[in-house]
Amino acid sequence: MQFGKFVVGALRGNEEHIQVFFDFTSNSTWNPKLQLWTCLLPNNAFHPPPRPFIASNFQTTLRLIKLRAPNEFMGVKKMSALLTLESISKKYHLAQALKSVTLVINKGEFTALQGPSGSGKSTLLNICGLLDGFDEGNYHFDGTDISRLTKQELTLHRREYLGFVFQSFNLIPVMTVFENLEYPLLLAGVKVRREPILALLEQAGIAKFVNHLPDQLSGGQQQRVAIARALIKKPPLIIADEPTANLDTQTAHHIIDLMHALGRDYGTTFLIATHDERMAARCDRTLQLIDGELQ
Amino acid sequence: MKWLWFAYKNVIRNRRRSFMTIIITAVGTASILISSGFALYNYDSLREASARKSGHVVVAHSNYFSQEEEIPMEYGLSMHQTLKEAIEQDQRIRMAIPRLQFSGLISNGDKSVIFTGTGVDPEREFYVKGPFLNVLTGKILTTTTELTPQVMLAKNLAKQLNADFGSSLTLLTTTTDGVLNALDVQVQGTFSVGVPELDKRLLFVALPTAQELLVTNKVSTLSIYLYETKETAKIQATLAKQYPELAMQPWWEQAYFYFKVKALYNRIFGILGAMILLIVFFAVTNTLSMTVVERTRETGTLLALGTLPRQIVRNFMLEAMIIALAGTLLGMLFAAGTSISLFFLDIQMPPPPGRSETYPLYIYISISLYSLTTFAVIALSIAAAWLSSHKAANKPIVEALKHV
Repeated sequence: MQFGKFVVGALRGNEEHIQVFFDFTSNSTWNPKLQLWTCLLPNNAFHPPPRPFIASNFQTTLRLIKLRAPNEFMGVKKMSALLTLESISKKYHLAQALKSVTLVINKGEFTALQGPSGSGKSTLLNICGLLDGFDEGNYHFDGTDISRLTKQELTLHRREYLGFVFQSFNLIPVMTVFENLEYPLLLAGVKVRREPILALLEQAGIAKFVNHLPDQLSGGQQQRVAIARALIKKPPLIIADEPTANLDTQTAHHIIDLMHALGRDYGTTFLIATHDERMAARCDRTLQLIDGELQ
Repeated sequence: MKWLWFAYKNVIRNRRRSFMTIIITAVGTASILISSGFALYNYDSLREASARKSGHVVVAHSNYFSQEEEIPMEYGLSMHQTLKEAIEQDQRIRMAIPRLQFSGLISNGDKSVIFTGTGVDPEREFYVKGPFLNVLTGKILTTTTELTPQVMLAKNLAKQLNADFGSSLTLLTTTTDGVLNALDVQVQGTFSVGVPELDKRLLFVALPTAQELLVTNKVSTLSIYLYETKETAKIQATLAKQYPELAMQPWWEQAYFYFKVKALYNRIFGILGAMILLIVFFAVTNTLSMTVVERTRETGTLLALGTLPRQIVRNFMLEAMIIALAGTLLGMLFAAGTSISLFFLDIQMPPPPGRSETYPLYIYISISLYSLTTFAVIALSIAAAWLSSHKAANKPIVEALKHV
């Protein structure tokens, strides 16, 4: 039984114990995390949401060779989850910022995160962006168990798989527009070529400002640079925290268009915290977070 | 190179503050280089003076340095001429000069004064002494064939005897047989060694005159002069192997002042240098601490983008290095300019304690000193950068991003 290149298997059953063994038959790199996946389910329980099995970035086919309680195997949906958060909780001193948040974000999705101030949007965004830790729960990023990563591995993970767009743009003031885009590539040890950077700036409509410093640009132009910077290394996920909050309506509209256009071109997943209803309306789905709980 | 470029851009970001830090670093570097260059000049001068006074290696009878003579020239060298010729075969040796030390009374007929005399080979002796013997009046001694032997008196001794060029005096001393002997001499010139106490006692006569006075053909010591002072230890070892029956002393065992002055200067300039380096360290720390705090949010952004904390610290270190390099470069230029100017300005230093003569103010330019100082300033600045930035680089990213 072949599940495809990227597999998410949602399993449920009425047995207490379901064991699924996968045989890695190809010449791919052995991933011990995927060798044996065991899920413990309550009897007859429909597991809401389904505990997913994620095998991504895995350049081979998987073959199911043995399944106990096969009658309850519900099949495999061909979809690919990028983020899987299970029962994530986070406390700041005495305040419970997140309460058992469970969330799956699939690849290529535009997800808006909405909620009133203090509802935990930023906390959830920081956890998803690997900028902050969590107290309880599980978080898998593209198949990797985040809780097992060291501080340095988290940094390298952010470097490779994540891009950020901040409310205040957060461009490096001493670097030109070109250098701001060059920086993530230098960090990644990629040989920097001028053409792709100029092409992206062209797409973002700011190519003529390539040698300008950020403080020589308007807010909208700076945010365009920030989006281009987030996309330059083509990360699977971009975390955007109120990307249009500091912009006027027309500029915000352009920024939303730009994020959509570039996101489609680059196949990037967006998780966007926003109060902007127009932006939320343009997303594939909207998550409501109230008092640290997903509604 | 790109990281260095970003560091440079950050340095010039706050021009005035960076400029002030560079100036402090430059002044600190120049102060260290100038004071240490002055100390090196003093060490060198004292070393040369000591070596020229005694010779790089002094060869004597085996008991000469360890025991007191009961009669004059008891531990003298008798075969000195042969020994001198043999020693001078070594290409590293400039010359070997015999000396005969004696003492007694010198009289002008009305007044007698104690003297400490040295019988010398005039041509060689005054050649090697060079600028370290200050002839005040008259001429230096010659290998005379005149009937009246010549004498050169130290200036205060001449003053006590009211003697000047051409004056006739009488030397009185004990011979090697233990009897008194006198010799009439004529003043050929006066000199100063720069130490008032010595200028009251010293005189030079030609070696044959001294030998005639003491009735001996021996000399006290044979002073070996080298082309290179740094060869001293090697030559001494060679000579000691060749002439095990003789005693040898290098110049530093004869140079009492050299080590005292060097120890004193090392202490003074060492403390001064340490204080200057401390000031530079605090100046750079202060500048970078302010920079680090101002850039906390930026640091948070860089961390979010995947910059490792050690890379953040490295970037601050590069900035400190650029500041330190600029500062040391300016400091070196200033110190070198000062040193070169002093060679032309002929500024005199007041006489040191116990001496009567001024000496020129020179400041040495030493490549090793310049390199070491540059290295120390840069290393301290980098350490200051680490101290200022390592906490900020490890601050939680969320906190850093919220920093206002």
